[in-house]
Amino acid sequence: MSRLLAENVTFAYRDAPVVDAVNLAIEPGQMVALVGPNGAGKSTLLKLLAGLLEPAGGVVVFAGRELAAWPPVELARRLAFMPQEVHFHFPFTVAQYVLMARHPYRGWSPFEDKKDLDAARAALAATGMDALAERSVLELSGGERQRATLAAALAQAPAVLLLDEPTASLDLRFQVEIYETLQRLNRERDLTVVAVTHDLNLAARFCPRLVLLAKGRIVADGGAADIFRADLIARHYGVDVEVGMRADGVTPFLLPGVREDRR
Amino acid sequence: MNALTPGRFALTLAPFVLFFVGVALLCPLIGSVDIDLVQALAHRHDPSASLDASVLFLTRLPRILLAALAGAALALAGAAFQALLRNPLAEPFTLGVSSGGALGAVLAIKLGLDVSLFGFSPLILFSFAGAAGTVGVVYLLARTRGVLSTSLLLLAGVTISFFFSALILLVFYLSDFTQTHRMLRWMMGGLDVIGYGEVARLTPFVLVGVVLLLAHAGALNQLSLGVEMAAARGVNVRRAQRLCYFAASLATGSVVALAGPIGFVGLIVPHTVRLLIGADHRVLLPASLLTGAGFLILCDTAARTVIAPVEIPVGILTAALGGPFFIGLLLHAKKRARFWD
Repeated sequence: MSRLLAENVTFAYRDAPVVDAVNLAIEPGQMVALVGPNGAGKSTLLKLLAGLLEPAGGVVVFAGRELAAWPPVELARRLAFMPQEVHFHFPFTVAQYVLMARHPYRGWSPFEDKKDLDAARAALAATGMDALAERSVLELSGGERQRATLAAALAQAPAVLLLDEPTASLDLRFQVEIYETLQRLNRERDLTVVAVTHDLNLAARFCPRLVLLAKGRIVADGGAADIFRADLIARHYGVDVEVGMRADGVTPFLLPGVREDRR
Repeated sequence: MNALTPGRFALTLAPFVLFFVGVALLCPLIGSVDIDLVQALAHRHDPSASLDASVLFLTRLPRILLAALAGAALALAGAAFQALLRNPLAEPFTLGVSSGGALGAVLAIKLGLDVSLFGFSPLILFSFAGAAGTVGVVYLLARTRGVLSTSLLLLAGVTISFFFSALILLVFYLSDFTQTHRMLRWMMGGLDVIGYGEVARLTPFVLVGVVLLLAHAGALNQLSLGVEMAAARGVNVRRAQRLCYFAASLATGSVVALAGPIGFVGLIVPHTVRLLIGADHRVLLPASLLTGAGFLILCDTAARTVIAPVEIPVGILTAALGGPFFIGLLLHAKKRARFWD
């Protein structure tokens, strides 16, 4: 099974651990939001899950095999990572940028084939970037850049997609569009999605499972109803919140109130 | 949307091949002496027997070969360093290869050494050693946990450059007039070789660098987006970075050792090519190589003919010809809003 498993994973940039003995199992086909205050270790945990950082303690296991034991190209065909931001320095076209994500499929050939082209086309269509395919990436707005990068991650055709704040610079409409795209791929193709996000409401709306991190540890793990508890949020974010329920009677939402120390 | 297929690859590179072949065929015929091509070709097996043949085969062709080799290496290395450092302003000498080479060269001149190894003169040996030493030191300084940090590379390279420049000035100061003149002349760059010996000995070094870089064109695409992105797509970042860094440095260092620091080629050629055909390194690298070779042949032809019989050091000409051309290109690109920041 292509299960992604963190076992007792610890990581420290200097002395203080950023990720502290975390145990987390992402089952195939799940759509999970990693939430938590700034500095909680969300992005670091995501990079550990992607194999971009090596844990100082513990192991990350994908499909029964430790990440470090995977041949990098084999892993890249199954696991894609979308960073918070990509800095472009050269005028690639959007199409080239998305096609570049097919790197793990090319082997020693420098050329792309029809399969690569199909994957890139589908990814551009799924993110609404097809009209901008021949535009230089240097001329894109922040939101377009974000969508181009998501398109690239989709073109990589992974089983698991790890995203670091995929909607950070997007307006409301594109936030919803991105998550709808992810949800559709999750439902139709069984794509496993793990997204770091600061937008708790968006997470509650689209992700059946939320994992709350604080100070490098998992402090809550469950549905939105398990995370959206005023005491829990107040304890870890230091903000009073009001929790409400959407009309569907299932999805809670959250309105920020007063900072705890100003009360 | 176009994928890069073998057909498209060939189509994109065709004009560059034509440019290079045209320049390489025409320039041997141009020079301060008019040669009779029929006469020259008739004596191709024994060039020294005819003036035409000896000018063509012993004077001009070796220079043209060296110019092609040097131009190709510098332009390719420039494109590779720009991707590796994720900085369009990088060039082959950004990380101090040329100042290391220059320090070696001025020391060899100052000490008046008279040793040679495998047919290489002390000047070549010392400047190559200087360049290689710099490359090694910068590499060790910039490596953190096996991965090369681009900002550390830049800092280390620029610092070493300044440090060596100071040492070069010190050696200048301590040298007499004749020595200083030789040193200055070396630093202007020149392709004036006689015969094929040095060109032939340089070729393997450059070739290794060229082959390695071309083989890593796809990886350089990924590395230009950042180390994390490259790693997430299955690039072995440590190995790719290390190979590209040493390959580009080897090509640059061997050219510097033989021809001195010929500036500008490694900066403007990749830029020009990028404006023409885009940033994909799978076509950018071979196209830069061809353009660099053709451009330096042109510059060297101008260098030996413009005010013949006096020669202008080719390093002066690359900048003098390349500068205005590049500015024109930038203005044109700006007008079409294809420039970037």
